Amino acid sequence: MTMPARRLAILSARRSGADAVLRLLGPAMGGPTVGAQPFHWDNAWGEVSREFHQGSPERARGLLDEALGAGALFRHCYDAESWDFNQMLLDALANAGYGLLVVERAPSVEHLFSIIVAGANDCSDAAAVARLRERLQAGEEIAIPPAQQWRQRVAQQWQTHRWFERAAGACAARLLVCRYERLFLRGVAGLAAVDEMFAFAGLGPREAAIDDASLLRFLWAGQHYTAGLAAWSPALLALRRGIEGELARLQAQQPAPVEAADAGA
Amino acid sequence: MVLSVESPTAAPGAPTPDDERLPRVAVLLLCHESPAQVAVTLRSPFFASADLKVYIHYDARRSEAEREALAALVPPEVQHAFIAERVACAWGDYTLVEATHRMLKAAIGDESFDPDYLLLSSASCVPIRPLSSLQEFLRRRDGIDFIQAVDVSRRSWVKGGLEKERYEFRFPFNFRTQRWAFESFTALQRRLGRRRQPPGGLRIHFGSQWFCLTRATAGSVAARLAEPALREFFAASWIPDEFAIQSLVMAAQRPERVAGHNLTYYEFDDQGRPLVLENGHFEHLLRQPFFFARKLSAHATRLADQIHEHVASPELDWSYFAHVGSPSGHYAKYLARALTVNISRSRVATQPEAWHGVMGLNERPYVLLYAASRRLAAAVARQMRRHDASLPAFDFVFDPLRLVPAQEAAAWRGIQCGMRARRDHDAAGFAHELIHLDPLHRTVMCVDPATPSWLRDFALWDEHATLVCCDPRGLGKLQRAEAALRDISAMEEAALFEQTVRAAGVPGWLPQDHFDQAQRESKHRCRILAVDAIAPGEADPTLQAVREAWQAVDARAYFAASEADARLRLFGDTSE
Repeated sequence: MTMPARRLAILSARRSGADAVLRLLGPAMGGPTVGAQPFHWDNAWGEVSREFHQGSPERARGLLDEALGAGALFRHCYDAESWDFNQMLLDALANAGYGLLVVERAPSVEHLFSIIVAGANDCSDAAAVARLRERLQAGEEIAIPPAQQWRQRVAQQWQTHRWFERAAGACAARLLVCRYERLFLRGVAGLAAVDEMFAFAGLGPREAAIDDASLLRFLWAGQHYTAGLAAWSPALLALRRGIEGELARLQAQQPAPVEAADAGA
Repeated sequence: MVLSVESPTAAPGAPTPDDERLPRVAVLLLCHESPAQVAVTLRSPFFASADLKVYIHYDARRSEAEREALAALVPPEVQHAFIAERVACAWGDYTLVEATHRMLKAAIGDESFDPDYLLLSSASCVPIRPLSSLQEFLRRRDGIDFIQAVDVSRRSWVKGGLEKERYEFRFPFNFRTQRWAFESFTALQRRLGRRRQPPGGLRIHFGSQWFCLTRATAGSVAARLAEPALREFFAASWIPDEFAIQSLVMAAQRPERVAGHNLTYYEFDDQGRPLVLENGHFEHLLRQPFFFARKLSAHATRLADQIHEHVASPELDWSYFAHVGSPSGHYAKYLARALTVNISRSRVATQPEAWHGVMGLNERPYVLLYAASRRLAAAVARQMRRHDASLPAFDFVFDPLRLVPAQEAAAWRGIQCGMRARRDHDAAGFAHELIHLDPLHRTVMCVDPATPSWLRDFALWDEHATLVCCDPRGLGKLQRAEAALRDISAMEEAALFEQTVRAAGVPGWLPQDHFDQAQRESKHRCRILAVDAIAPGEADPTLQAVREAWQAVDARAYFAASEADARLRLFGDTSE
């Protein structure tokens, strides 16, 4: 007998592997889904965001409540939206009985470098990163944003991460925080992390949906190694070092955030 | 261009809970080589870390004095421990498993180090990545065992010869020293149909002996190897290092947690000979998604330096992690690609050296012997073989009319008389094969200066070639011509015969003076020297061997006693 799946929203920063989590849970949950980034203006629930930013926040909330009513699974990048919008979303999710699955990736040089370089060169999958690597190895230049722009991005990511940690912790909705590192970078510990997700989503035993060997292959296939591009370009290496310095400066200015509850830790 | 950073793993802002700790690695080092050779391996910056400890098993066939010499040569910054009770290791028997077992027990029982992973390597393996990369990889694959393990009940692992028989039969005789008894007893068991079954229904898996195991799996393997029934079973088997530990790992671990490959790069050619890494292989090596490689040529000092330099600075690009265990392409393909590149360039006439083929990639030195008398050059090569059978000294392997690996045998060091078609199809590939035949010694070949051949023309412009003239000093032109004509077949080599006779009678060079003329006119890039110019204390052991062999040969006997005598033999008169 299969257990009924619960309503679930996957929340994360960009480039945190949450798309993989969506692909993993989507088929197992079996219910409706609107995929990744539904609030992008071209996507299924884009009208909510458009209304929030260009019209009336109240009407946006009404549209959101209506959208969430069907209980569709989705993945949302909180760092692609404003804090106000995210706060509205958290409230609405709690109200609609959603569980929040947060894939947490702490700001790190690797993460920020990946966001900045992948964003500037419009590459989001492993194959695109590989093509970028080949171009660099062939001596070609790739786009690198100006210093002011990437510094601003680093600061934004840092602040947004800290804000979201507090906001998600204070949200009334059920919450499971899964650390990116544990899921993707700690070997077989990723199996237990996925088991917890399945339990949180109200699904049956994970092994019934995907066996260990397939799951391990899946978890390890998503590594893009974007940060490694810096090995092939002095300019990218300088960017990487710049991000490292900027992050250290931000860290020194503010105490490290209190770790959000990690049910799997 | 690969740039390095100070510390790619130190990410400010990243949390550092317990699971952020990088794994500690115990390296179990099987050593059979001389203390100096082992010390070269241990000088790699890879080993100098508080996160790594080396457990050294030094073959008991090496003396206690040598073990002490090795202990003195281990760099002080390398954490290490010697296995006190050493085993005399022999290929094919249980001793290699026993030595590995002792290292496993030592590492697991070492409370002062407490390793997370145990990695079996040897002094012939060289680390090709920084330790920090290996640690990061192991952290990302935490809980996975890296060992090749093929279930032989499902598919074959051995390319030829015994497979299941290796554990189903008993092997009380040594394959190398008691070959007849070994073969006879194996045949007897096959006739009798008596086959052993592994104790406890153990399922046998075959694979390469090198591994990197989690502590838990290594502990299980070490405990099971101590079981008398298993020990007796494996000890009576043949080459148990290729299935004992592999089978026990598969019994201890769930299959999805065994990677099915190890972390050491090696290649074998079609004839089962291992690829020996030379100076030109650095880029090829870095393309390989592995952490160790075997085997490095003793001559490849520049390659060793390049690898050490690479290992000393942290890597930034870990994209090879996604492919660890899968070589980037067979070595033959690498060579084929190199050939294709040259050939395609030759089509647009921008690469005049297209005919160099893969030898354009060669950086390994080699020695060519030549003399006016072919028999003299061949005699020196034969004397070298007599003196030391391990020396790869060949006769005229590039003679257009025949291929003679050694006068005394139809085949020598795997090179056969019948390989002419192969040689002529790809002379550069054949030369490359010969020059890389032996990991320790330079290849020596005879070449006839008077006969155009691929090797003669290539070597003259190859800076890696050393041409040694074996003619005694003070010979006249007629003496050399007369000696040369003794070896030239007037039937098969009529043109050369006539040229030599004609040249002997007029001023100018003999056809046999090809290299001397090139030297005189500075039209060469190779090194050309007379054999008696090799100093008694010559540092190069191959040149030293050439000199000693030449001294043991009566070189004068191959020539007429004087110019007058030669003239008499050539022209039937002694007048000027």
